[in-house]
Amino acid sequence: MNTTRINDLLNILAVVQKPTTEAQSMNIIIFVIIVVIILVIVSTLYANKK
Amino acid sequence: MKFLEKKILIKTLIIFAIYFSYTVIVSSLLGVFNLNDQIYNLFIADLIFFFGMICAYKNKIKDDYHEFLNKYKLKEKILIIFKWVLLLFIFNLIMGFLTEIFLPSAADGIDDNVNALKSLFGVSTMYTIFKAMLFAPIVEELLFRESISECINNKIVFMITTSLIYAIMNTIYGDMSKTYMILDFISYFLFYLILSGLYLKYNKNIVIIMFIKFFYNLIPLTILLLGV
Repeated sequence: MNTTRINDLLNILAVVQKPTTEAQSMNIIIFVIIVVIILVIVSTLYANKK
Repeated sequence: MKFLEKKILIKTLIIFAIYFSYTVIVSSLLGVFNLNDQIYNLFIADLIFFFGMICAYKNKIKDDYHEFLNKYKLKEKILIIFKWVLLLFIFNLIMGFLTEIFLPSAADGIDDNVNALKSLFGVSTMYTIFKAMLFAPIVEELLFRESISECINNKIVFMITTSLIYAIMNTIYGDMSKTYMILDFISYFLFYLILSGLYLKYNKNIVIIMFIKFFYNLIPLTILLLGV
């Protein structure tokens, strides 16, 4: 059995962002996605609580 | 929404905005002074963000550390960390086997996040150690778990949200066209779901999770350092 994947899955748990400008557009997209996720969830929870 | 809740939400969103932009800002500023070494600039940027996050959450870290110190005996502390590091390690192994069983074609693929870390290790050992042993357990836990936990009170929704964001962050910089990315995503999601469960189990004590992640990361980092 090829154990490459198993070794890879024993990985270091650290997010490695792509450096600087080349990933900046990607960073903006992820940021917007995360903001939307948080805002939608928080507002839904708040609306349900009300 | 109360004023305090709004304040916490805005604080979280600002921290996320800084997280996604600080490398570019610091690198640009250093570039003005003709400091153009990418790794060196990233290291400095990460260090600034690292200390900024510690300042922003210093009271929470202090309180949780004292709780961890006083609530459990030494033997219990060691047992909690050792037990969960071992269980997470076994879980990851099982996920590795399942990936090979269900998607044998992915056996030769390399997780892009792991690849990035390995490349980083080739360029700067010191930076990789900092990233894996200090930045990841402390900053990432504060950013992706603590800040979100302050905004979302519902336990289940919190667990799913934080694990989802973590899994996105660990996979999105990779090549999304690769078939095994979905399996990596699921692996990361389930892994972080367990960590979120532990965070809630131990009364939202972020320091315990930091220790678990620190010792978990120590295993692959040691393997990487030994070159096995």
